[in-house]
Amino acid sequence: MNVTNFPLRCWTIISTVLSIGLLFFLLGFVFLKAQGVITLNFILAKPAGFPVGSAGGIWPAIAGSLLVTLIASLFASILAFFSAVYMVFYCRDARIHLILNLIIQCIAGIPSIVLGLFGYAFLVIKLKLGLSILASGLTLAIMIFPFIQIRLQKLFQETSKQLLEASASLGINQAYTIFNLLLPMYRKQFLSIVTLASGFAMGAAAPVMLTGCMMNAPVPKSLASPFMSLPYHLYVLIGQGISLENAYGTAFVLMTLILFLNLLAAIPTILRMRGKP
Amino acid sequence: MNQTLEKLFILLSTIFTVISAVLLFLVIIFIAKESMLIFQEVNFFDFICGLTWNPLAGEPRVGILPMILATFYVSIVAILISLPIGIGCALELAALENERLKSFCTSILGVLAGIPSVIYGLIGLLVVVKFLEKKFMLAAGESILSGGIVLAVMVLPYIVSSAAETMEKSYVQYKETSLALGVSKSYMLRALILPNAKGAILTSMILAFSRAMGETMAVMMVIGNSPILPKLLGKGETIPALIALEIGTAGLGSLHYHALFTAGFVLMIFLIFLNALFYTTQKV
Repeated sequence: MNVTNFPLRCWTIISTVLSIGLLFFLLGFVFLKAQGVITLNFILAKPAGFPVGSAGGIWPAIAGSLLVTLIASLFASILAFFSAVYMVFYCRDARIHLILNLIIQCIAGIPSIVLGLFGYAFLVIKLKLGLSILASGLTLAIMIFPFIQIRLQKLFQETSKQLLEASASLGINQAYTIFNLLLPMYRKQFLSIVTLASGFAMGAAAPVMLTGCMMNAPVPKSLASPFMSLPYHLYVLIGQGISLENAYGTAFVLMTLILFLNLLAAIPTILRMRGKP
Repeated sequence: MNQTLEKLFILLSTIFTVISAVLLFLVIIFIAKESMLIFQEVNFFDFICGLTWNPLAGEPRVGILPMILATFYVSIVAILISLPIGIGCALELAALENERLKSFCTSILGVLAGIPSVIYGLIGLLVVVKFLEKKFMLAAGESILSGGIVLAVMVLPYIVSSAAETMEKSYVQYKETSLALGVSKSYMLRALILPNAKGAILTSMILAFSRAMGETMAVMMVIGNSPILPKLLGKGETIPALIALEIGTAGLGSLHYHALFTAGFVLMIFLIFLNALFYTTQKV
């Protein structure tokens, strides 16, 4: 290694170690601090004490977060799947294609807080959904829709033309091809994209705090009831200085759920890597 | 039978596409419509360039210049910190021959991008803010600098993945030739890959900048939130933080409410512009 190259290598290696090390620092910090806070009671009890959250547990927040994420990913994945199929297989007009792409790219760039503003003014007030888990779920669905749609579209476009032409020349219609060829081929990738997107939805606090998230609410019984969510709970515990211990506990639970989703999403990649040296 | 299924499927996908397109279009239209109302009462330039934010006073003043400046300020600080580390890491990853190690590093960066912003905010508050208080003897460590440091960590994965993609392509392209000429890997990185990646670095910067500008929670937790002109070690308030903190208490249809929508609209326009810039630089 000669003299002029040495600083460059130092720089690249140090930056890499720093970047990779960051994750372990974050995980280590949260996991160490949360030791002793995490008990079965903390996970399964309702928040209690005065101010609320200074004692008790976070069960309604866990349930609320999971439910709102489920609603969001359900809506977003259905819409994203069909619009990706439409744009790749059925859209013949180049102009419509361009316009759709443009709108989706625009929404992908809009910050989550502005989407929350839209959810509040349109879904909560104009459509009279009220501060509810449905309004929050729909807002989050709009947030993760572009993420799923763009990736699905890319996936479908990479399908070899040969395959589609072969099935078309055999007189098989598109719908049959999509259900019997494309879906089995891409099922794993599709699920992993949706899982990754739901991780983003679960961690987002800004859109839900405007559209239906409360500091203290029971586990939601219907789509119209307000709910608690982990990121917002964590924010209030810290922001209003209610309880640092419980904040660490909440952060631990949230982080574990997100890591779990990330791991699920990575399974297809891991399986593929195993075959390689 | 099969034909009806096909027709049904086409119909279904068309309907769902129309629903999504209308919904997404509605977001832009609705925010724009709600925010235009304010200009009946306030002059456009007074709004953008006004220095005072006090929508609840007897004579309400809504100027968002301090917030606009703070939003840019934290984002620029974040990029300045994050870019050197991100590009270094991208160079190393692009030239990494070990496939397993490379995919391990890529997935670590993916996880880093997926960590919720409130957790970054929590750690920022407990580590970065505390550190700044000790280091600079500040009364309160909540400042533009701490916001920038937290954001730098958050945008790092975006910079690395965006830059590494292009660098990897040019590495693969020139690898054989460089090997044949007996050029060392380090020299190749320095003299060939890095100068070649100027466009990619610009693209990753724009992407990171737009991420940083739109970030709400993490910044809000460490920046102090007071609507004054930002200084590096002083408090500030970004546009997303302003909206998140005040929309709950703003009366429906009031000047305050519309002012917050307009602030959101201004942010949205900046970001759509950055996004457009991102796609044009990416194509070149």
